[in-house]
Amino acid sequence: MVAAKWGIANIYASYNNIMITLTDVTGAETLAKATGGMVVKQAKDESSPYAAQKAAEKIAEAAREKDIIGIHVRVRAPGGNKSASPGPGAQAAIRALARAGLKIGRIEDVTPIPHDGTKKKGGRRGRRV
Amino acid sequence: MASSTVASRKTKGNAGRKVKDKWKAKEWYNIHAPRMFNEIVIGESPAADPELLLGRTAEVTVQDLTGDFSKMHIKLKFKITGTDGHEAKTEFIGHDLTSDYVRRLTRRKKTKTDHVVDVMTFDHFFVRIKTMSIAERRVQSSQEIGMRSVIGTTLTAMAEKMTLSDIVKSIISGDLSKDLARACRVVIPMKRIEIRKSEILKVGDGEPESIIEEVAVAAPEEASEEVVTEEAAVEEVVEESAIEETASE
Repeated sequence: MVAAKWGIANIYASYNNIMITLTDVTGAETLAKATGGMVVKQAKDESSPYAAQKAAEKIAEAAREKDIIGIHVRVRAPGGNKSASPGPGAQAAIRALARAGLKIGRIEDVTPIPHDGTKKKGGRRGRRV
Repeated sequence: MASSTVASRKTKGNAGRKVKDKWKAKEWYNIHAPRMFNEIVIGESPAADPELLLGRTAEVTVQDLTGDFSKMHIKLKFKITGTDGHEAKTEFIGHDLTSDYVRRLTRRKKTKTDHVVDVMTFDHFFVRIKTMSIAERRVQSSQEIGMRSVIGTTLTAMAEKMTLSDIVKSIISGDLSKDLARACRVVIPMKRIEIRKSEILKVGDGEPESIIEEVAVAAPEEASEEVVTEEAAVEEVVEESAIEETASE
């Protein structure tokens, strides 16, 4: 039975890395995962658009193996008291998934937004480099 | 020591092999929407054992169920409660608005008043309804308090006469929010009131009846599929540019 199955690509894009997890529609079963570190050698490149593209291609291949024709995308930044905007890889990853021939359904931002929680790290005067 | 490390390595190797076997053991189960939504197939989920399916939740937009484009910001949550062969049954456990829709509505210098009301329906379902009212301008806190009390009393009174399916239907169609806005006019005229979220706290008696028309679903389901993907592509471009913007910020 080859049905038109849909999955969810959970993309976690921070400024240090990118993690893509392909799950079924319930999010309970992981079908594949790929991270920036799996595709590049340099640690500093883990969050790059190139790493995101490579990781997304890996995911797309795994999706094809498992008869998944379309995916909904959930983009996520670190959130909480950290950065709320997705890292540089998010966009590249979505584009690569679309390029790989997967249908893209909904794209949603699922960054956790605090309704007021703890103080952001860095102290009163911010991070001093 | 040495033997233990060997053993651990061995188990690791076995685990690695097991993963592939695990995948083969899994079968796909169709997830059906509850009877409220005519038991449309909303997706598939793999599991080795049907028991493991229980408790999984799937999210679907109203657009996916009815083909109504104006309702793509409402997400419905279904929880798997039982299986029958390769078909999994679900029950409705609440709804939510997409975060981007809520963010679009909230603006500076416009008061947003949230309220949470627990109501009991005619068929003894306990439902938590979270409302969000957006005013055109700044609202005094006394007016906000007045509005909350009006929302609380009207919602409880309305829910007592409605079954769960009536409530879900009116949430989706927007009638419930219209009625609330009308009731709030006594305190302050509201631009719009949205039902931001609903949760079912306690299941009542019986299964809620169907609330969407057969005609609207059966035929356009296939046809709308194509349109959906096209629209999705457009949306994707928009989203991408949006992400780009935020990234450049």
